[in-house]
Amino acid sequence: MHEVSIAQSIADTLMQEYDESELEKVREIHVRVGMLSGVEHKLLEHVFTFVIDGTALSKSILKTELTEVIAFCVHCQAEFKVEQYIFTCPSCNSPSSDVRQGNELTICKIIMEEPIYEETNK
Amino acid sequence: MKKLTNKAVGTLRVQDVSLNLLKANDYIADMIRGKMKDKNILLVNLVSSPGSGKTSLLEETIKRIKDKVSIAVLEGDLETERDAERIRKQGVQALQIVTQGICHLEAQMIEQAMPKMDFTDTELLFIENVGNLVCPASYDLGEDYRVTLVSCTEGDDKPKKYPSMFLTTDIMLVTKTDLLPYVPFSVEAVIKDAKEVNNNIGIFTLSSLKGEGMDEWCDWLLEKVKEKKEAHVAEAVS
Repeated sequence: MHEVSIAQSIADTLMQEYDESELEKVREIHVRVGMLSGVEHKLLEHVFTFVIDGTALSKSILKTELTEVIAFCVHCQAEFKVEQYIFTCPSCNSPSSDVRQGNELTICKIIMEEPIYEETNK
Repeated sequence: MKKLTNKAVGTLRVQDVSLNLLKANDYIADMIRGKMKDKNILLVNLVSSPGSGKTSLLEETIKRIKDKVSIAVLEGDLETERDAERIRKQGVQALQIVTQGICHLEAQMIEQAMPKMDFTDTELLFIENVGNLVCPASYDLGEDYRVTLVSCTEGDDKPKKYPSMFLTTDIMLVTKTDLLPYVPFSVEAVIKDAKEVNNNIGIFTLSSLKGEGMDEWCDWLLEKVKEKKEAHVAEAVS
């Protein structure tokens, strides 16, 4: 529902971290989207194209990677995958909402293109 | 091997980074938390779907406890001043944040609104979030407690449909219980689902209209206001 604000904050975050000449080299931005983050990842990729239009990032595309929900069980001292939003350890059945993965909304990778004008045909 | 043309050849440089997109919000939320601690104010963030009775709950809560604690309210809505006006009629300070289409409140909005309020005597500050069970879940506002309302008319499947919200909720209030005889809503089922998502969730059932369960809720609030003050005193002594 708030994908446009998230797309805007991806652009803003990068604009804070890099200067304009570097932003122009960005070709791919990879964002990790947790299943609990409430973000529709395909929609985010789509709205991003509108947000960057006319900016230094306009040659980049956004790629999202959906991460599943992982919680930690204190009794078993082990992580488990949360299915169907049931936050119960499958081994010992004790409840745990200690989420270790699934909330993230993080830029994890940036791919830049460094143009080199090579003299060929020599 | 020789290439046949002169052209720009790009090398791709891959950078692994970790930039949290909600970092700015969380930073401001921590600032708000610090301010509220210094001022001894208990901050409660009320969230729910539209129409589950957040404003009615506030009106009734204020009526019952405004003589015991000093209350202020920040109202978040997409449009109109209406909710803040309803709260002011109860004789407490209220400020409306109009988000103009944004579906949630962000810490920045709270930070900007705060200087417009007078917190000299305030002991309890409510933030009534925009009616939405999805987006407000991601935005920490610096609250001590996140309280989520589920009304009996909405259906008992809400915790499983909106797990992110219930996972970050401290207290779930099942509201409009006066309508229970007329709707196919199971309090047991909603509690079971909420506990499956978040086993630490606290639960109250109440009706703002008829008053049933309101005493328990108000006592809880008063207790938490007291606890926050005592923690502050204890820290000052040590």
